[in-house]
Amino acid sequence: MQVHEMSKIKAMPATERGSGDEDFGAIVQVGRRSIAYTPSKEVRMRFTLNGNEADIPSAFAEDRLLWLLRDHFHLNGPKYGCGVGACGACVVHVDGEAQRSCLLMAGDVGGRRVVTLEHLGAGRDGGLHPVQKAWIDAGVPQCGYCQNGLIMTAAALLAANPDATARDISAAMDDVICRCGTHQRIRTAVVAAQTSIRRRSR
Amino acid sequence: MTLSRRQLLKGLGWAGAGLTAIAGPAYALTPWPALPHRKAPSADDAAAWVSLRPDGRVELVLPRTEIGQGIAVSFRQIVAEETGFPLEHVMAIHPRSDRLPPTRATVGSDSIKDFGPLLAQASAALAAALKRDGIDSAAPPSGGWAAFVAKPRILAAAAINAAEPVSFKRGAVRRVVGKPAAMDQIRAIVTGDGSLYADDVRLPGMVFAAALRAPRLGATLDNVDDTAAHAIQGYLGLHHIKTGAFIAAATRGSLERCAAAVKAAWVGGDIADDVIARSIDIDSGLSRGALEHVIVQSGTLTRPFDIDLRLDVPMAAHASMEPRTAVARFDEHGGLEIWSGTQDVTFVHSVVAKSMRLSSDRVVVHGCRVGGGFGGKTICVQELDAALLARVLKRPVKIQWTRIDEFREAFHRPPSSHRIKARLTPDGGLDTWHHAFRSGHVIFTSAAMGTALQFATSFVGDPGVSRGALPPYVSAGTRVEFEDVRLPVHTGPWRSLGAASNIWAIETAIDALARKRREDGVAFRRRLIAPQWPRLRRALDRVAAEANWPALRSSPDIGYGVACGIYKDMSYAGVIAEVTRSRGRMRVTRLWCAHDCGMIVNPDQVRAQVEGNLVWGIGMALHEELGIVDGHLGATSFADYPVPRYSDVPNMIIDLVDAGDASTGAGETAIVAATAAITNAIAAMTGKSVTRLPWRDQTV
Repeated sequence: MQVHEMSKIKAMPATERGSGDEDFGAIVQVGRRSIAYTPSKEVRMRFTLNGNEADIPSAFAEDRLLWLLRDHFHLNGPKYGCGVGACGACVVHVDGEAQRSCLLMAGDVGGRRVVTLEHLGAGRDGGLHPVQKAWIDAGVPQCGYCQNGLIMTAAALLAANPDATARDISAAMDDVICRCGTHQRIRTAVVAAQTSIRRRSR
Repeated sequence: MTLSRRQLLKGLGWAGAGLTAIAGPAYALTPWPALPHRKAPSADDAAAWVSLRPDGRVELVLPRTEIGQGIAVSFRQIVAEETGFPLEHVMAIHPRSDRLPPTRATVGSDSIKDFGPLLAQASAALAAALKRDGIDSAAPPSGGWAAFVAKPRILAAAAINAAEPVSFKRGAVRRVVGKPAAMDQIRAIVTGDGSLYADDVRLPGMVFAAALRAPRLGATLDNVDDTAAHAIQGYLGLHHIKTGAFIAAATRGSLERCAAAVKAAWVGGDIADDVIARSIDIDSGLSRGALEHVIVQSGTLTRPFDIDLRLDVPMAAHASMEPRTAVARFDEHGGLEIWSGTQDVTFVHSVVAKSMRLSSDRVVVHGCRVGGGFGGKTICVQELDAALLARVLKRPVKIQWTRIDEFREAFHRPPSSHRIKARLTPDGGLDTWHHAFRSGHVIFTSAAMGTALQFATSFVGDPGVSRGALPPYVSAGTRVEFEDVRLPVHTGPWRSLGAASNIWAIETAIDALARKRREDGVAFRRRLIAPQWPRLRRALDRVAAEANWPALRSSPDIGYGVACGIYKDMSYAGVIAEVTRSRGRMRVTRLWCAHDCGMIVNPDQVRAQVEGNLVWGIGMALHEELGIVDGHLGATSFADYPVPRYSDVPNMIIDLVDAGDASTGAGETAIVAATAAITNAIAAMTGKSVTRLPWRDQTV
């Protein structure tokens, strides 16, 4: 089996395959900056979610951040796609950086600033971020399920580097899977969003 | 056995060769005591699709599921065209079993072809009924919409049949149909603001469940020790229901912790990793003589052959981004509601009602937006599991498959193995064409049939396996034969069924013949295309012109390949690929496609489908392969099942041919030509046919 060269994912150790307890996928580390998690049960854990202060209920502290967002906060933006950080459907911004919410524990984001797709365009024209607007203009989605990860990844990339090159864009977007084949329109939309963001920052 | 195939098909109740067919007296022995609905829609059905709402909008209950193909907006365009209402005054709701008559599954790329004209009729009939009451635009009547709508207007089949719609009328002037329009729910998709998919359904008191899964193919559960799980907060126990053993928990986090704590012991399952390759091997099949099903035998086959190619296609996964998900809830009166992103609301409804012995009016299935289907979400699995557990647990239950479940428990595109032998006439025509192939099942699949019906159908060629196997080329002697082979893994319909594999094999062989003659691949095909396929020839001409084919020169580092194909005798595609060799890899660097699905309702959505098909062609040609590793399906995530990614997809130049022919379908057409265009481009570089998918560097 070929492991995609663009993927930064370390293959799951062979010993964990077929062990019978892999139903939910062992959590593997993706080659991104990981956030240290020091559980402290006594202290009430808080974080900033989409611009508002929020509690992390202790019952969720050791759950994936994705479950906290979907099942406690009822957010629909981040999606479950693979549970091992290999598809990107669950991407959220943590302190402005694109992170896979299936690989973080809820307790990892204590004191951090989390933004989901729902809040990406907050406070801007018509409530749409330039990436979201470009996505609509280019008619990118088909089934739509992966689009959260694509949009959040593109938005984080362009925020960090408005002058991202085609190579930078490829490196970032290669990490998010779309099965319907919307890639050509993703390219159109990211370039359009980049133009719009640069114009705005001038 | 002297019954002809057609007689037997009739005897089993098959009206034609379609998708997901389970029928006949043996049905009670199938895993489900229910049949998929297979009838074409009627005017009576169409009466239920459109109605006027008290807010003055037209409501369209979609008879087909939105799976990303843009059917919701395309159907709304038809309704808007006929009623004169603006597009934004036509709203679509997803299929639901209490609002629709039984409707066949959303498969086969035939929504516009088979449902579109009827929807236009029904919409035109609605417009006529409104006009009689003085409404001929979306402007409200003097007394307001609510009062107006309070007087019931029944759309009768007779009125629907008598209506004269313009949507599909050749030469008619149209306002909305034929123009691009944005996909339904696009804003909710890009903002996350809305409940679209089954996983967005959250009910008070809802709990979560997961099946215990065998660690090896064919293993059965011996015993379970869930002692440790009882210590975990939220554990709701182990439940043996008729579809398997499940654990349940209050949250997804606790469900994961419980799953890790439960110790299940399995017995059996000793499948050799090479069993699939051995089972479908075409040469061992041919060594026993003729194959079981001969699709065509005409003229005489003459030796020696100019080409004799062995071609192999592996198993492949749908790998839809949305894992199968369902939510089930019983109300206080025993009525059951189910939410699922399914391609077949009607089938889920009848399976669940019959399996649970509920009268059909006690079960409502809400179809949700499907996060990728590709033929895979056509059977009833997690919906019945969730319903059975909701009954046991007396609470709403959500079941979401894991990604590993998707690779291991779903059905897949069957692998196939082909041999094509062909001989040229002295003047460069085809003298002999002999294509023999063996494949796992597509329609008569073990994923959907019990052993009795599997046996009954073993005398009948699986029409999904043979789809696309008849070449569009004239040959003096032709024989096409195949065998469908029962495999120890679940196989079934994948985008285009057998057509993508069969036409890849055909177009690889045709290209090899052209190379043998040192004739241009486009010119060779043009000469050979049978007279009944002028639209295929046109698609080929259009793509050759678009790509400026005569100017393209292959070298050892860059290759140009061509292929063409017909899907279901209705839609046509020609594809040209540019492939570049780069550090031991092959990269598709440009693609051109001419695509003809007749008259187009929404060119932007058709174009999106062509793009998707071309990307799937890249996957077939260069990436996708699912095999058995250590006794189980050998993929667990997208890390070990490669699909095309952003940088694998080149610029695609798409030419939509619309010459006013009747509308057909776009969902599965271009894939039949895309794969071979890519591998033929590689062959143009190397001088050797690519005979095994996906392409691998043989020199390494």
